[in-house]
Amino acid sequence: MVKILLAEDEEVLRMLVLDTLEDEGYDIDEAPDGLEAYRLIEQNEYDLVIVDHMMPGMTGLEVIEKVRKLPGRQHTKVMMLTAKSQQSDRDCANEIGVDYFISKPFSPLELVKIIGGIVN
Amino acid sequence: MNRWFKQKLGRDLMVVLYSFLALALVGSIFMYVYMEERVAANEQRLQDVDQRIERLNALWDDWQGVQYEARGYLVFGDTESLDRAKAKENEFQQEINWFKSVVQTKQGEIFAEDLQEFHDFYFGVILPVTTEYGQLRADGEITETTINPETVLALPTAQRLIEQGVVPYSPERGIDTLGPIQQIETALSDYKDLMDSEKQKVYDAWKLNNNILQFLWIASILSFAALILLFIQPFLRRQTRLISRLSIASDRLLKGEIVDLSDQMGREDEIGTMSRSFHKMAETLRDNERHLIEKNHELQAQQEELIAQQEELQAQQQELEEILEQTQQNEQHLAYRNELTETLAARDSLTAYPEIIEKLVAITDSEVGALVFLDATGSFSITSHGLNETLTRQLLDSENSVLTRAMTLRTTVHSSKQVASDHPLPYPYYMYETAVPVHDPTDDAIIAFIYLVRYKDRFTQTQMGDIMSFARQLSLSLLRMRLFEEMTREKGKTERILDSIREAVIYVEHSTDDVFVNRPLYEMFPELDDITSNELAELSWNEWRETIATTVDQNDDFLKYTDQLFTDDFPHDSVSFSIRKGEMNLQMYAERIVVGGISKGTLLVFRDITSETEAERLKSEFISTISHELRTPLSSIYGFTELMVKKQLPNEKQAKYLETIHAETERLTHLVNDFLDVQRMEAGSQMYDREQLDVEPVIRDMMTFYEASSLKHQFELVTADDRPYELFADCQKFKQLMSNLLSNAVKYSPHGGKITVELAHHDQSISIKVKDQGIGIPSDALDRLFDKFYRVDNSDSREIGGTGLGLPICQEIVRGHAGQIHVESVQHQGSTFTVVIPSYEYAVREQESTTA
Repeated sequence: MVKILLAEDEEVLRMLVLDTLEDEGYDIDEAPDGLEAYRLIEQNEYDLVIVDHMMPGMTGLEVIEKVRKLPGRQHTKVMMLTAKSQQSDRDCANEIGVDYFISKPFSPLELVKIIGGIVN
Repeated sequence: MNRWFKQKLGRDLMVVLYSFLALALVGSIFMYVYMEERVAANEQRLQDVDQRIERLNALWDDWQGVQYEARGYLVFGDTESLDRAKAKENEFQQEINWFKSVVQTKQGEIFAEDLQEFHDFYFGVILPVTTEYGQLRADGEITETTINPETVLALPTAQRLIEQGVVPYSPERGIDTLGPIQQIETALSDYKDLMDSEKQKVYDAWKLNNNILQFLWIASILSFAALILLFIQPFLRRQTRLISRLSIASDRLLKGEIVDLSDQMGREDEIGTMSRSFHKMAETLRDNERHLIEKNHELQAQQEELIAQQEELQAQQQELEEILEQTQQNEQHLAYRNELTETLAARDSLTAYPEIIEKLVAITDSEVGALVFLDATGSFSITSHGLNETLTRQLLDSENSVLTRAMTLRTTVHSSKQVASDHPLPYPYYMYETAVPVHDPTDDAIIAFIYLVRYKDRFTQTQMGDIMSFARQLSLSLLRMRLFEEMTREKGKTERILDSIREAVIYVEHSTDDVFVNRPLYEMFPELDDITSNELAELSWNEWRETIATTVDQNDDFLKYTDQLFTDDFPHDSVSFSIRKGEMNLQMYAERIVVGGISKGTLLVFRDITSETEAERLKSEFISTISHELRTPLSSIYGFTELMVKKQLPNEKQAKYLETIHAETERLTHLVNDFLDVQRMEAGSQMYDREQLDVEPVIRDMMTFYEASSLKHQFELVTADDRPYELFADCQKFKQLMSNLLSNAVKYSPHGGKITVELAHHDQSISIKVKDQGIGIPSDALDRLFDKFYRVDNSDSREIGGTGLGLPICQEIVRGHAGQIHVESVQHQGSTFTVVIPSYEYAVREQESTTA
């Protein structure tokens, strides 16, 4: 079963993504902030990590930057959901090791398609 | 051989010494051999004597033994004793034989014969008789207790022996047995004494030998020493004599006498060599002395010549000194002129007039002098040297003074007059005055006069020449100074203008490469201050550029732009960069200064755009935050609507999604409203419709509304007194303020509690406190609480929604009413927001006073 971590501080958005992806049969863990997200990634191996950028505690980018230094987490696929959609933000994220970049607002069905492409 | 002796001193002495040594050696060897021989002979003798004594003792022992055994037999009749005595005969005979064999002297021979005689008697007579006597006594035929010689004589053996005549017998005495025994014992003892004396003789001989040897040894040493002395002394005396001759000769040589050593020079030994060297040396010395004496004569002659020359030189020197004195005078004169010219040429000559006139007086040999300047209005100013007040007044005011006349005539005027004797000199004298006009070279107008006075003599032609030439110099100098002053004034003006503008400027003059900078540049780059103050600002453009470049963060951009400044590729655009790690943002642009088609210089301007950049950044950040805040609810609405439109959903999910969409839309609306409010308030475009407002009923109404919507909270309004709480406020905005504060109090005390509003009157204001017992605010968040979009970042507050604009709006409303808002909070215990707004009375009074 494909295992996905969803780190998003907005409960409503978390519900949206969760509902959509659960219908597709993915196993999903949730994290309401950066610290929790990092803890979960440290303990579990995910096929995909979806992180919001603006999160309290630790931003999405900070989480990824730390995750990339963990042994065996260099190649974990990371998707970033963010309201920041400027090219410079994307470049910065790529440098740190974000593989996919989805800007808010996004289409949940489109998201499902993209995730399907990634995990299969 | 003889030659060999002569070649070296001491060879003959050595030969003698060696001969003596050899002689002594031979003598010693001879003596040694002789002594050895004597010692050996003595030893041999001693050994011989010792052996004889030893044998004698043995013989004695044997004899005693035999006698003892024989007596034993006689007394006890023991035959064994007799046998032992008989057995001894042989040994006894052997001893006697030995003595016979070693006979050397007459005494020895007699001794040996005695021994043999006794032996024969004893063993031939006594022992057989004794044997028979003993036998008869043993047989009992003889019974007498003592030996009776008659009985013995009667024995048959004795008879037979007597008959044979072997035994000396006399009828009166019978057989004399004791006589031979005593005789032999005496012989033995005598022989022993003889041996002892013999031994003593050997020792004596030995001792004598030693004494002789010692004597010989000492005698030989003494004779050896005497011989050496005897031989060496004359030899040494001879050599010493030779050397002392040399010594005496050198003494004489020292005294300068002539020395003849010819007899010694012929010798082949060292004395000969030394004498020859000495002779040579003496000759050289004599030559040198002769030479020196000649030299001395020569030098004396030279010295005399020198003295003559010196006298001549002294005469010349005196002459020169006189000339020098003259020259020095001229030089002083020239130095004064030179200094005068220099003073005039110097920049600060305007303040150096006293010095100038003093020098002029000195050059022209005058007594007093003055420089009189005419200004535009026609009045005088005077700088004088030695001129007293009376004279000054006379000069300036008198119509007949040379100055007045020169003014009128516009030319040089001289005058001479006799002066009474009460003046400086004690006798009547003439006073010569002269006034020389100084013209402005541009328009020929008179700008000054030179006034000089001499006593006794008139001014010479040369002095007049000096004065006229000085007048021309002065006129040129004054013109130059006027121009310089004007230039300085202009320069100062330009500098002041450039220093007053906000932009920093560097100007590089192309022809000279001089660099000019204005003060704001130093303010912009304080680093330059250190360098320029050290190196007196004589920096080249490149040094300026390098120093500034070190502070620039975007170093490459700066260098690239400034590289182009002096090329054909002149940059016409501007470039922006930050300095000192973003401390300041600068915009830089360059301009060419072109005059008449020729570029004269390059101007580089730095503009501080820090605040503009900061404003730009804040605006961009604000927009970015807003867009983020808007995107979040938009994402929800977009997402859920899409799901509802495109997916088949169960009813309960549809209802939930619709609810969410509604809530998010509401949030979006709030956000947009709040955002617009803040924008309007910050821009200062918010209009407040202010009126007299009693806030107590307004607050009470609002609290009733909130109380109805929350079951967990208790609301209380506390008023300090019954006076009305009146503000001069916009009712709608006040409600918005209170609504924000009260809804925060409810939201941030999620577990309920008491919410208290306290109203109080103060001198000029009214305070409203909103207290809750909620989660409180972390102390590090208090400072940022009123920032836009700031949300306290912890798990408690995350549960609680909000736009992050409520408190900024409150703050804007309070400020819009000239009030203040602040917060106190203890985490987990609650927060208190205090709003202080001027009371209605005070606000109205203030407004009236400002409009009036």
